[in-house]
Amino acid sequence: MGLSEKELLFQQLIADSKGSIYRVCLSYLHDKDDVQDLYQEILIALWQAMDRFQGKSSWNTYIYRIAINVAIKFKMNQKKINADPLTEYHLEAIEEKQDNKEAELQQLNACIHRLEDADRILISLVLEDLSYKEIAEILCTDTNNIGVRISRIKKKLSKLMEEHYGSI
Amino acid sequence: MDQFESYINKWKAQKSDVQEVDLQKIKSQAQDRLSRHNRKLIISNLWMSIAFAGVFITIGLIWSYFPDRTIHFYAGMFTMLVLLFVFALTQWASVHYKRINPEAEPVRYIKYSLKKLVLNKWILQYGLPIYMVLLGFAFILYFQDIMIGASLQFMIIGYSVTLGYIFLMAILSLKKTKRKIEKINEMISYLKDWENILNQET
Repeated sequence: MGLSEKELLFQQLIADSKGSIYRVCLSYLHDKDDVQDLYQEILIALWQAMDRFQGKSSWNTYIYRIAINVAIKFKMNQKKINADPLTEYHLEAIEEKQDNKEAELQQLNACIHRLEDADRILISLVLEDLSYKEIAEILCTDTNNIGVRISRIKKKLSKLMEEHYGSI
Repeated sequence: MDQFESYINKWKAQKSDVQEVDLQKIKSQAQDRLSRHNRKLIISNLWMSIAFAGVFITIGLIWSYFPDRTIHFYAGMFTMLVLLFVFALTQWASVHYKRINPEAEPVRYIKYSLKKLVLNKWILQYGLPIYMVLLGFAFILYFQDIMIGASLQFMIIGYSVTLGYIFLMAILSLKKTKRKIEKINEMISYLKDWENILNQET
C-alpha cells in the first residue's frame, strides 16, 4: 500500500468509524480529556496496524478490535490513579434530570460504567448492534461463549437501569 | 421495540465529541514509537553479541596458547564455553522476534509475550543459580590443572577468591533479580488481565 493510498484509506476509515471509535472510548472512560487522549491513541494504533490488515475480517471489525484493545490497555494503565468513575452523587445528579433525553443517555452510560471492564467492553459492542459473530471476531473468541455472556450482561444492565432509574 | 433496542438506538445516536486529530501528527507519533522500539531491540542485541563474542574469542585464545595441558584444563574451558553458549541462547530466546501488532492480533500477541516472559522468569529464578553453580564447577576443573605444583596456601587463596567472587556476585545480584522477577510478574499479570477481559469464560 503506497503512502498516499494509505492516507486516503485512513481518512476514509476514520470518517466512517469516527462515531464507533468515540463510543468505544465513552464506554470505557468518563473524563472528556481522557476520551480525547484515548481517541488519539486508537488512531495511532490504527495507522500502525493498517499495513497488517489481511482482509480476513471487515475493516469495521478490524477497527473495533484495535479500538477495544487500545482502550483495555489505556484503562489498565490508568487504573492505579483513577478513582471510581461513578459516585452515588453522580447517579443522583443524573436522576434529577430524568426527563431530558441527554440525561437518559447519561443514565445508560452511568450504568455501563458500573459494569466490570470485560462486561463493559462487551456491552459496548452489543450496543453498536454488531452480530455475535462480529463480536466474537473482535474479541478473538468463539460465538457460543459470547452468546451466553451477552445475555447475562444484558440482564445485569437492565437490572442496574431498573434499580437506579426505573426503565427508560 | 424491546427495551434493549431502545438502549441501542440511544447509544448509537450519540454524536462524536472529539476534536479532529491531524494526520501528520498521528503519522509522526506512530513512526516515533516504532523507531524507539526497534532501536532499543537492536542496541540490546548488539551489546549482547559483542560481549559474548569477546568472551568466546578470549577462551579460544587461551585454549590455543596452551596445547599440552591436562584434561581438567580443557574440560573446565569446555564447560565454560558450553555455559556461555547456553546462556547466550537463552538470552536470544527471550527477545521478541515476531513483529505482532498487539492491538490487531491481541490473543497471538498475549500468548507470544507470555511465553517469552515465562522463559525469562525461569532463567532468572532457576537458570542463573544453576549457571553460577556450574561456572564454579568449571573453575574448579580449570584450577585443578593450573594449580598443579602450587602451594596449599596459594590453592586456598585461589579457590576462595574465585569461588567467593562468584558467590558474592550471586548474592549481590539477588536484589536486582528479585526486582526483575517482580517486574516480569507484573507484566504477566497485565497480559493475563488483558486476556481475561477479551475472553472471559462464562
